Amino acid sequence: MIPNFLPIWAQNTLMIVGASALVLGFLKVLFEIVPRLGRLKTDSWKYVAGKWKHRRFVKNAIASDIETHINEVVADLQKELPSGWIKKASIKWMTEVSNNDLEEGELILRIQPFENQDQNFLSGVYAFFSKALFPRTKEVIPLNARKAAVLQISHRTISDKKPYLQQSFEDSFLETAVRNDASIATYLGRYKRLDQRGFFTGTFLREIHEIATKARFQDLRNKMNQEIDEILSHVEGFITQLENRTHNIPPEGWYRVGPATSYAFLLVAYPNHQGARPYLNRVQERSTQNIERLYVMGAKEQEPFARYVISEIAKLPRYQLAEVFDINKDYRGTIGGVGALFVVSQTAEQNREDTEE
Amino acid sequence: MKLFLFKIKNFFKTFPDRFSRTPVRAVYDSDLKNLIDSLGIRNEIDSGTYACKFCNTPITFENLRAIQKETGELKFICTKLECFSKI
Repeated sequence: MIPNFLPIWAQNTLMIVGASALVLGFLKVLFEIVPRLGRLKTDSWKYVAGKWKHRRFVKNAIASDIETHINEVVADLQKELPSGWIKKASIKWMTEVSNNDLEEGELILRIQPFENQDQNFLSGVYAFFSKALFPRTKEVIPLNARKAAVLQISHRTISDKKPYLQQSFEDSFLETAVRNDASIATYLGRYKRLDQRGFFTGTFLREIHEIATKARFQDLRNKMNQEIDEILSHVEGFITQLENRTHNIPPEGWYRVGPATSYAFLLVAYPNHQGARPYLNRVQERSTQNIERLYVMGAKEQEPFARYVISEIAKLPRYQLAEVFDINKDYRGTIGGVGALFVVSQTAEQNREDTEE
Repeated sequence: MKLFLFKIKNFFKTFPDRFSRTPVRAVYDSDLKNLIDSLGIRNEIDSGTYACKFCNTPITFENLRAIQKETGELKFICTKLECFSKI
């Protein structure tokens, strides 16, 4: 590959450059795929910045630090939030910009030197989630409900991943938001309750996003607050019945038919002698009720069985598997668990309509 | 089998997401004046012509926290947390 007419020293140099490029390229891909390796990158930049104190190195160290912190959080949330909602963050330094370069609604955040890195991180997380949550439906969802969702996700991830910043986040972002709009405190309390049983990211955010997508150019857009409130009340009622260990949850507790969507829950836990059959029967019931969206929530302890049930439901013609996702906590409140969203298959729906005609 | 196929399909569908990024535009403290110059609004900032979009406090180099484009115009957000948390 290396031309023979070159002197030996030039051939060796080319070989070293080529090998270095390969190694660096490999490391870059590795850092991209494994977020936890980002810490190594950050530490390297911090070391270089501390040694030479060049502004470029300091900026790289700051950006890498914020990106690593955010991306560690994002890696877990990507499996939990609706598919395609959040991608990893990348700090894009701006030194010059023209008005035309900026997209509508786009933000340029001022980043302080390293001494204020905690504040930089909190601002970065908040700006990132504000941008990432509810893509394309931001304008449809009322500001207080949306902001409370951003705060809930940010608060939970900061508490889990960076507990030393929790107090700072609560004293600054949470306190300020609640002081400015008391309804945010109400939403936060309700969201937290859902989140403790896996229904916040698992069901609520997905439903709201779906409704907002459908209501965008309809009158329902003006009633989004009411719709959000009704879904919250329904899920809260369902959780209360679960908490009270009421084995006879009334049939209407398991599903909701709203103006834009209809959904039902299927909780999967005990594998009994009939295997997946009772769950499949329940799915058939929902099918005859014309429920469009089916949330299968699997308990952490019986996760393999829950995955088996999901695969069995996927074989049914009426429902199509739209997503399999992780949940923060299962419906019993145990950390972990699996969820799946099935939606009515368009083909099956068409066939059913044709038969009825 | 169907779940396995779904996972494979989903893996390839979401594979590009592993590499794509949500850019968070940022300006480093010491580059701020340069950025303001490039926007051609240095004099306005110096004279406090612009105000925070939330609290109407005149914006200066000291209290500028973020710049946002809104309905085609540049809006400014000051360092007060209650203003930044409204974005």
